[in-house]
Amino acid sequence: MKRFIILLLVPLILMGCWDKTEIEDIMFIYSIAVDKVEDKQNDAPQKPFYEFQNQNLEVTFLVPNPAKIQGGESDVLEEITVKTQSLPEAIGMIRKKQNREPFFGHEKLLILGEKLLKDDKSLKCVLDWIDRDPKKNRSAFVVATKNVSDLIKVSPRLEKLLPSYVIGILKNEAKVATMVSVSLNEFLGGIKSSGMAMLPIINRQKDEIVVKNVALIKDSKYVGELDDRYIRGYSIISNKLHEGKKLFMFKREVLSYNITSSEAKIKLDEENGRLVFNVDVEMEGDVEDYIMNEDILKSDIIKELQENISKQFEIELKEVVRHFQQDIGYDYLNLKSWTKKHKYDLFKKYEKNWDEAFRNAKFNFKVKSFIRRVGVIR
Amino acid sequence: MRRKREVTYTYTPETKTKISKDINENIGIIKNILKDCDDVVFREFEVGGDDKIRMFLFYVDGMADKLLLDEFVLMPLMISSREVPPSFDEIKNKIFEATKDNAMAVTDFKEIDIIEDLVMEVLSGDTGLLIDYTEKALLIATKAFPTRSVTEPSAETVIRGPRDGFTETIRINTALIRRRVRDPRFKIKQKRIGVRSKTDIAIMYIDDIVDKRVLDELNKRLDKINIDAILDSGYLQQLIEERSFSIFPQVQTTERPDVVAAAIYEGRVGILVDNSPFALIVPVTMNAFFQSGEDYYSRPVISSFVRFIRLLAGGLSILSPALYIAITSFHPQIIPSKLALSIAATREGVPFPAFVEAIIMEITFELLREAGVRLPRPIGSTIGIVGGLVIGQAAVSAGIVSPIMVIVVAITAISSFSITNYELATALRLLRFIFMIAASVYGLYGIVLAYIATLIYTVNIKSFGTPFLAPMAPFYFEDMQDSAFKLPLKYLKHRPLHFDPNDLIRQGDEDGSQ
Amino acid sequence: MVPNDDKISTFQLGLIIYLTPIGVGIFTLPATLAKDVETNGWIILILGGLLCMLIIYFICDVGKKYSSLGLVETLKLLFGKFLGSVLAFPVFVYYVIFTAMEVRIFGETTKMYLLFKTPLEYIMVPILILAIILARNGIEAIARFFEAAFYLVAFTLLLVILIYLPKSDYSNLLPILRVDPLKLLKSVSDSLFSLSGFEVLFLLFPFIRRPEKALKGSLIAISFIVVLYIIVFVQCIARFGVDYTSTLLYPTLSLIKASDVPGAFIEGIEGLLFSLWIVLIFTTIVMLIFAYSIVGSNLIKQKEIKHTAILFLPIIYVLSLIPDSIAETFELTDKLVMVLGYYTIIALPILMFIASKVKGARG
Repeated sequence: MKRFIILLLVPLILMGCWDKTEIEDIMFIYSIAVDKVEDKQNDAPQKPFYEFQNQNLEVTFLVPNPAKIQGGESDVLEEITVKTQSLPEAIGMIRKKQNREPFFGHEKLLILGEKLLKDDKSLKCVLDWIDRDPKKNRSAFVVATKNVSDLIKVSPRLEKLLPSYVIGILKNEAKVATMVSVSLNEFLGGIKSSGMAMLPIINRQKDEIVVKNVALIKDSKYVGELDDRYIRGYSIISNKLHEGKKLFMFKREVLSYNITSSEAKIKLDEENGRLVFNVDVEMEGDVEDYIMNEDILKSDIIKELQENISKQFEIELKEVVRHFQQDIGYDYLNLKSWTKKHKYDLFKKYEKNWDEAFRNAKFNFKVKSFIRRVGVIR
Repeated sequence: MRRKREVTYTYTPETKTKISKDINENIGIIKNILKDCDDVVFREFEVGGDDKIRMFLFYVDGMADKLLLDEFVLMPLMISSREVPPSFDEIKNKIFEATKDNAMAVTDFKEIDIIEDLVMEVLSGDTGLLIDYTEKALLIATKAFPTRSVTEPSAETVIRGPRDGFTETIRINTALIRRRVRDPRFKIKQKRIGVRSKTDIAIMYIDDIVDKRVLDELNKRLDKINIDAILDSGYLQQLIEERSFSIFPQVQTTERPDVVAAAIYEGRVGILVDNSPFALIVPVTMNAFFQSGEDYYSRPVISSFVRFIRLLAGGLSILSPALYIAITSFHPQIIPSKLALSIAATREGVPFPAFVEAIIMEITFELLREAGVRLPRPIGSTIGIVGGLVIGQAAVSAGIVSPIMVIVVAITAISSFSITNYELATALRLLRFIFMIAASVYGLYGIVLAYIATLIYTVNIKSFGTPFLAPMAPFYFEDMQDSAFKLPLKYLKHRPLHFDPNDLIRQGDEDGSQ
Repeated sequence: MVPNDDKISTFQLGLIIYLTPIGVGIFTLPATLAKDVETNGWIILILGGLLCMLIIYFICDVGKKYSSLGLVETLKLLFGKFLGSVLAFPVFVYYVIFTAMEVRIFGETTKMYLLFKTPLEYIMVPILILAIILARNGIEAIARFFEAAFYLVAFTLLLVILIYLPKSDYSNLLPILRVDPLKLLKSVSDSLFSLSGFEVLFLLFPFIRRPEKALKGSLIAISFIVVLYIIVFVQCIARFGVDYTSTLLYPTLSLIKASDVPGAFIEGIEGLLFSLWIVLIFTTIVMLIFAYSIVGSNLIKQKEIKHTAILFLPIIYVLSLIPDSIAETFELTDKLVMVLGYYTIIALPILMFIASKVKGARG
């Protein structure tokens, strides 16, 4: 019994509630938007008060207002904007403006401005801060945008909160072939392991937002933009495609093919000091529309359709690879890590100048597509 | 001479006075002992053709069966003995034997030669008969006091299962058990405990199953008891428990004879106390507290599910307010964003921190529960309505607590009512407050600390040598078949190992072999 | 009725050997392995496990022979009174420092993931007090506590594994065995020390009801730990890739943090899982305290283990607060492993094994 009293008293004696913050005193930061607005360079080596110089970043925190949500009001998202040198300082500064405790555990969306992406030093700073702090939500999504202040003014029509709206769109990636979505985890992992990462770009279009193109990051620096049309090919080669559509030409009609699964098998050889990738793709899908008044339910027609689709995919994939090899010049298809995993000797040989080897590599594609279903009419 | 003795005699529990040959002396002493006990009836009469022999009969009015005394004791002695041979002279020298063996048509006699013992027995409802010239007295079993009939137990109701419950009479209770255990190896040992109350208790076990060490330990503890009165089995329970201050009961109490019988068949010991409708069972484990007799009567899959629900209820009734505090005040990242926002919204304007809010609500709930028990039945339901309004509606609209807190209290209440054992439910109620305090200091870490502390505490408890958390800790693989889940009866071939029964086999194989 | 003889069953022994090594070490293990041997960590883990089993064989062989004596008494018997005490002393120091570091790393981790502003001391003291209380209750209570706690732990582990198994990219584990073999061998010791804690087996022999079965129980326990470690390592690599894993301080916790359970009521599951993990760390601390109090009380000839446990509590508390930063804590732990760890885990069992054979041959 004596023991139990001691046990009871342990928490009581040590009474003190250092970490206690009541939930209503918390500011749930749903989204952080960072951009670079100025380009002051003032780096005197030693000087007091570093805080008040080079305030190049503009950080906006999007915070839902619980009282407004309960009241059923429409404009529930509050914006808190500060100009600062770094993100840790930004948090110090919002404490001067807001009484509630900023809380990042429910952060859903990280918006990075274009200008920030172009400055590798600042980007590194921002990312390191996010990576270092265990309180951040690592399944948050990351997006890039041209104009941050424009984007965050959008008030979505069906949703209450802008971040939920953006995330909802990003989650459609599973159904749209020409889109990617990147979580903080994938983004940081990519940057740390291969130095390369992709970010979907979202922009404002009147009072909606639209996902268009992908920003390419290499070594914490923005290197270019990938057009939407290349994303489907990229997803197929890197085995990331879940579901998506492709329009194709058949008997002078444009028809739609809905890919339901796709699997790419890569084989690697070396020919005359040049890498040769043989990519075999097998995909399944449904035909979603067809020429009126013609019977599709014949195996030879299906076969013809399949061959047609396969051929058009081969052309597409070739063009995608050409784009990556010649226009972009970096291995965003993640073939480096594939080679490391599966052909270690070749990897060792080309490791030093991989980008060069990638640009010179030869690609052969073989696509086999299947049509499984044609709908309920003939 | 007689007068003198009367004055010198004073009653103490230790005195033992032999019955003397002189009936007048005996009567004097008895009347002295039972002075001012106006419920005792004394009857002196003379027996035999010439009223040669004086006899003295006394009993407690209301506790003895008067009809039986009139018809089968007084009638043969006073009337028949005059008409029927042998005559008095023939049996002059063996009058006691004649009375006992030939005269009265009563089943149960006892011979007693100490006056104080006789008085003691009479006070428990029997009738004493003193015969002149005899150094022995006859005790006639005439116990017939007002009893409650066997009714359905109110604290442990079942849907499927027998409806009889214990009453306040130990005889009826032992009969209820004996009906279920018709085995000569089933023993009912009776004792009297309480210096003044002399309460009957019955220790029940099956001789070749019970763990003798438990029985010895129990007897040792019972013999140590030196208290004036045992009014209920609750007294006895407290007196034989290892840890008096423990919040967990170390003795199981039940109102149901089938539960006691089942425990006896498992090799445990049942204890009945006169005047108490609650039987005690030792040893007991946490596992047993989460079981109900009904589990064994209904289908195994269902009862396994029900047991799981009960465990869940146990967990919820301890943890839910603590988790609410920990999550809202320390770790809002654990719950989904939308829920976090809506909790934040509902707590907007609540003046108290979550801990105070939870304490207020939990104490209100405890008050309501206590009030509901104390109030007379017809008004009891009123409390429910008032409480529902106070907790549910008014407190929220007054802005003292948030609606989520009301849900939390409701969950706690429902789950603590779904625990089968009332005493365990009370213990968990207390634990809940400890967890709440811990959570308010350290959040989730505090809950874990409290959990560890509770666990340290419970692993150290033993009930008559059986670890309280058995068969989980120490682990008995074989006993898992009847723990958090239950296998079909067909597969429960042996008795629980952790009670260490002498005879392990409960069910032989189908071909009759063991 | 369970006999009250201060002995533990084989199952309980296995559980003690299983739960003692699993503590804070598992948080950093994947990063250490990924840094040194990249994707081959799981091979190293198996090798380390096998080495550990060999040592356990030595320990059991000696322990069975002198099962009624403790470690210190056995040493005194084998090497003489003075030399035996001298040999036992480093073991005592090892356990004391090990306890202190375990408590410190636990405090730091809790501060990082659960309670951000609570002072370190206030995190460490309650768990230390609870651990002392349990350790004072003797081996029987400890064994029962381990059993009772195990259900929750097993549930936690199962949950973690179920969450991660489907969502990872297992091709990250390739290539296999493409690292300098010398490097591989070097990091076997890392993997062995991630199992450190199993050596309490030596001290437990006087408490084992059936010493002849100790070997089997401990080997099974060790193989279960190795399996668990491999699962954690593989999951980390499969989820994050080698390069990212090696940059993380606590990859295991990051792994938990990176989870998103679809459609779950709980969102940020890491806080909850970490709090359950505290129970595992607690078991480690309890066993270490018990270990040093046995060795200590044998050394200073104190009959009551209880008192020794309390006696050194202030020392442990002070020791655990000596490192100024988390970096220094890790450095100190590494140094401890280098000197005392090698001695206690590898050198001493082998030495005793040889000595007992020599003595056996002579006698």
